[in-house]
Amino acid sequence: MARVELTGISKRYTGGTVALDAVDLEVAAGEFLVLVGPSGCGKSTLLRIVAGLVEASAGDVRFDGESVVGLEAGQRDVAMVFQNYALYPHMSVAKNLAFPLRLAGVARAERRRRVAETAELLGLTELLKRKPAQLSGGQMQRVAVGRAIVRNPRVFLFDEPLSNLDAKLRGEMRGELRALHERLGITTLYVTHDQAEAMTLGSRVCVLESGRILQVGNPLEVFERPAARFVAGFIGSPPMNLVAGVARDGVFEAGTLRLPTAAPAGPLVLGVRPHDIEIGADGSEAEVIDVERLGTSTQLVCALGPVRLTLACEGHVTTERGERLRLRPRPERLHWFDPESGARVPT
Amino acid sequence: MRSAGSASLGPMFAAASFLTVALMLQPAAAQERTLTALVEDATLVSWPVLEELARDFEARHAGVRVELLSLGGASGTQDKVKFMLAGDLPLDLIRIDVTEAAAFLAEEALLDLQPHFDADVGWDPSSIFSAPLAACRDAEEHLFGLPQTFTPYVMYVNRDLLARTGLAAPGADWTWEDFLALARAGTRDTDGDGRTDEFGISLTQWLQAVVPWVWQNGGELLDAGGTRSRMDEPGFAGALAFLRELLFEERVASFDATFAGQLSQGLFQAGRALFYGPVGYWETYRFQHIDAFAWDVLPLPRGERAATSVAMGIYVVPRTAREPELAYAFLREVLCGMRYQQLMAEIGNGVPGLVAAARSESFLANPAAPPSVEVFLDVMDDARFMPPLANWRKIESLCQAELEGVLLTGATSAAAGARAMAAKTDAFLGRERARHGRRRLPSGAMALALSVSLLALGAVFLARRGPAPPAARAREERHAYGMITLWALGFVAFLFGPAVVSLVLSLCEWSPLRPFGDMGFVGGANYARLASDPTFHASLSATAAYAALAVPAGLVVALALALLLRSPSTLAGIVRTACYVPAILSPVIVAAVWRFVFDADDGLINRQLRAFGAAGVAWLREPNAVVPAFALMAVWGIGAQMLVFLAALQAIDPALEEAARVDGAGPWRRFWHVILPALTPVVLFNLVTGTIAAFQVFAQPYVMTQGGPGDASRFLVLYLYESGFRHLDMGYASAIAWVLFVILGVLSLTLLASARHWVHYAGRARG
Ligand SMILES: Nc1ncnc2c1ncn2[C@@H]1O[C@H](COP(=O)(O)OP(=O)(O)OP(=O)(O)O)[C@@H](O)[C@H]1O
Ligand SMILES: [Mg+2]
Repeated sequence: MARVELTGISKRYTGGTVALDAVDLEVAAGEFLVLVGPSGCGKSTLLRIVAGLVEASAGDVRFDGESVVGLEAGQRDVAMVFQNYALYPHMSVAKNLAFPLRLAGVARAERRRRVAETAELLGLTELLKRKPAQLSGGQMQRVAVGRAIVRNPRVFLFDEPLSNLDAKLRGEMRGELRALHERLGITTLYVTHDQAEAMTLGSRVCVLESGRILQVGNPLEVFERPAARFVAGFIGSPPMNLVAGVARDGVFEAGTLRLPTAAPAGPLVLGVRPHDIEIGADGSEAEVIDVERLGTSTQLVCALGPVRLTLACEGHVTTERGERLRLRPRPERLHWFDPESGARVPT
Repeated sequence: MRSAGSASLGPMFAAASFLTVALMLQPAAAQERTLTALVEDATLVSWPVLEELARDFEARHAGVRVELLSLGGASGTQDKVKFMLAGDLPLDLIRIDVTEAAAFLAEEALLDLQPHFDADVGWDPSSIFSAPLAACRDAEEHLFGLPQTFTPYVMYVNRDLLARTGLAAPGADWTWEDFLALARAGTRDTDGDGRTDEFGISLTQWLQAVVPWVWQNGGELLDAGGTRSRMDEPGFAGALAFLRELLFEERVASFDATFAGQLSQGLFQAGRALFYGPVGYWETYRFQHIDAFAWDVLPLPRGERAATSVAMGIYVVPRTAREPELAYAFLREVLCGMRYQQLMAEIGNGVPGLVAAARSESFLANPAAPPSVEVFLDVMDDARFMPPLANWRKIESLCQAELEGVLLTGATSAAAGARAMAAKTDAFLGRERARHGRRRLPSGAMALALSVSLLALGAVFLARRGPAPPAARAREERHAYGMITLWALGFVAFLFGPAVVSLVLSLCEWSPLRPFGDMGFVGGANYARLASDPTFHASLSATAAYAALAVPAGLVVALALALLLRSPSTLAGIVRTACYVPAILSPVIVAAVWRFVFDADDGLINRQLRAFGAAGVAWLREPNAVVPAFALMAVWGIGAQMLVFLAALQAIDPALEEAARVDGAGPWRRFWHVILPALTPVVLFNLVTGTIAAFQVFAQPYVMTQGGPGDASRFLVLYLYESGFRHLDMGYASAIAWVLFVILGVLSLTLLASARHWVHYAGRARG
């Protein structure tokens, strides 16, 4: 268990791509931090810098205050789970699990004991003799996790470990990983581009975009008070409505939408989550242009002049396409962003 | 079908495709009569003259076209004639070496020209040198050809070195003792480093160059009837012992450095040998530009008697000629005309067979010729041709290995070498005699074998095909068959068919000079002979040793290179390309290049070795060095294997290596535990294909060593080729091909079976 500190980490690949730009991040000992962001934002790069697989162009990586820059990956005492599991195809499950121990010079008997223990923990005991090619995706995933925990490393690194699984299995594994973390308490950096995973897994979430950290905080905080327009649009499902308009004399105008705002006059972006729009007698008039029934909820896409708003209603609603409604975003649940910088406008 | 190779063999293929192409190039329908002559190499200065003569001939014979084909260079010369005859290509006039005449006569492959000479009023036998002409007569004294040029073997002498010995110049009847005294005086260590720098003689030692010493010593090669060898008699062994003494005891002789694929000029040309020989007129052409010292020719020294041998090219008409009259007429015009014969003298080809040409300025006052050029005519009184009793090419190549054992490596004593040569020759002569009593393969047997095996092939195909598929699939299948038909026809015609033919041939005795149907059935005799043939055993072990060296070394180097070059940098790209180039070069070119590397005196390797103070190795002359040398060459050409490894490396998931890095594996353990297991399928592939390729090595030894020294590099396919096209023993060659096939089959299956234990197929479960 270690505290991981990243200071001023930048990475420029040969060819000029700037994958990370002066990233500062601290992960407390035993914390489960999720790195989330769109594809190509530099999540993997950051993780691999921590692992020692990629060398940062600038900045320092410290474990418990001690710099590990310059240490080979194998000397950092970290374990990593890869998206495609990276199981050694010619080794049995038992050998895969034992491999890091063998490299570390752990005696055979001890090795056997720890492999058995890990297999037991992950329900792999039956599979120990099999080769990776004889395993299902979920089983391979479990072996990969097993290979990571068998060494009892200081830091766990996961790079989108669940993205190759189907939705149901992904849900199960999420729960298992959470339980595992609670049980082992090892500092964990977990990369995903799936915001739902980020919200459910992490004790803290770090949102990256274009090599920069936009917001770090616990999931609720990030959801309730997104620090930037990008975070607002990225976190939450269905995504937050973001409407560009103008603030004039305390009123935000966009299409036929009129809302009071405390923001200063000028161009402004409104953010409102689909759940935070009510249908009522008053409010702006809108036409329903699409209805999407999801069973437990229904999504309506409405047009207010050129403005489109998505709203989510609990349960089954009878509204049909073409109907006219009056919409009222809940005033206490509005977010305002600067259209230039994307930053949250405090109100 | 006349091709006689086995399916798996390169050279046979080369022959087959050569025949095919040659067949296709034949004019479709010739209105005119065509005389096809294969008598000269197109690169020679005399080619244009021959062409002019051909045009003259055409002008005087209306409706006749003379087509001159080029013989091609050097050692392939004699083989091309046989390829073409074996392929039933129309040849009306050919040039052969007189030592081959007996073999052609034995196969009744030559036309008796006596009737033509008899009917020829202008023919004057005395216009041609008598001994050479006599060598063109068969057992019934009928002429079957005419001499082109000939040359007796003489001794070349460096007159400057001779003067320095302070001894009297040898006269025409100098003796072995005189020769030895001079040779001793001419042997010197000029720089005092303990190594001889100047030798008494640079000694040639192929059979025809050795036989003069034998004859001088009162020995003989064969008895008068040509039924038994006399090589085990004192006259023969004594001559060998004398030469061996010169080389290894007196140390006044060095073997001729132009031998055994050496590129460097010989010792004589370098001014480092007093004498050079026995050797023929052709060297005058090579030596004409020597300015550093004066040189001349002498008769060979006499032992009990004076004797020398003669090399000669003759024009003959194959029995299968379509235009024998035209062939005869053209032969007479070319060889009895001054124009061509004088030119032959001028370009140093040899002594013209035409007396008038030899007595003309062209020969006697040729600026390229040595002062005592008349020696070539004078020694003809003592000159003998190799007796026209046997296939000398066969005997020569049988004995060459032993000769090299005695004279090149010194590993064998003269007496033992002589006995071995006698035994080999006798065994061969015995087989030749036995041939006449042999049953002929019944006509139709070959056709029967072909039909039966085709039926069997069809049956296997039908059996494997399983039950008739549903209509929709059946249509698809028909399309598929339609698409593979062409390939299938090719397979049957060029692989399966020839393979069956060669299997039948391996049970027969057949010379490619004979009509195809005319083969003697010998049953398993060819295979039995293989079991007791020392040359085959030597060949087999040389091949195995080569494979055992070249294949693992090639794998290791290819893999190491692939690992080094897998990063995508520009430099790696360039080096990768450089490593791949040898793989796409013709092996003949590669061989030519490597002669520079392996050259004993000036070679790249030896120069480096000497620079570090180590002694050089005579790579291609040391029986123990020649196989490693070829293996080294093979390793140089592993570009293709490297490419396969590179492709496989690129296919390995990079995450695997990263996982291993995070797990704490250093470079070596990553290689051993992650990369190598992932590469095992490719290792297997390269191992199997590499082994097959190693067992089929041919072009390099063919170009560089011709199998020597001794039999040290007579690899299986080379021996196969020699058996078929040099020794005219196609049945034996086919038997070798089939043994090779079985060896490779067993080896490949063993390797594939062993794969269960060490090859990891990703994504596929193993038991
Ligand atoms: N080895 C490399 N060389 C050059 N550029 C690279 C390399 N690896 C990644 N990049 C670039 O760096 C940027 C960040 O890549 P990274 O793999 O960290 O993204 P990511 O957030 O993990 O994306 P994903 O969710 O698709 O895995 C991308 O623009 C990518 O193209
Ligand atoms: Mg990634």
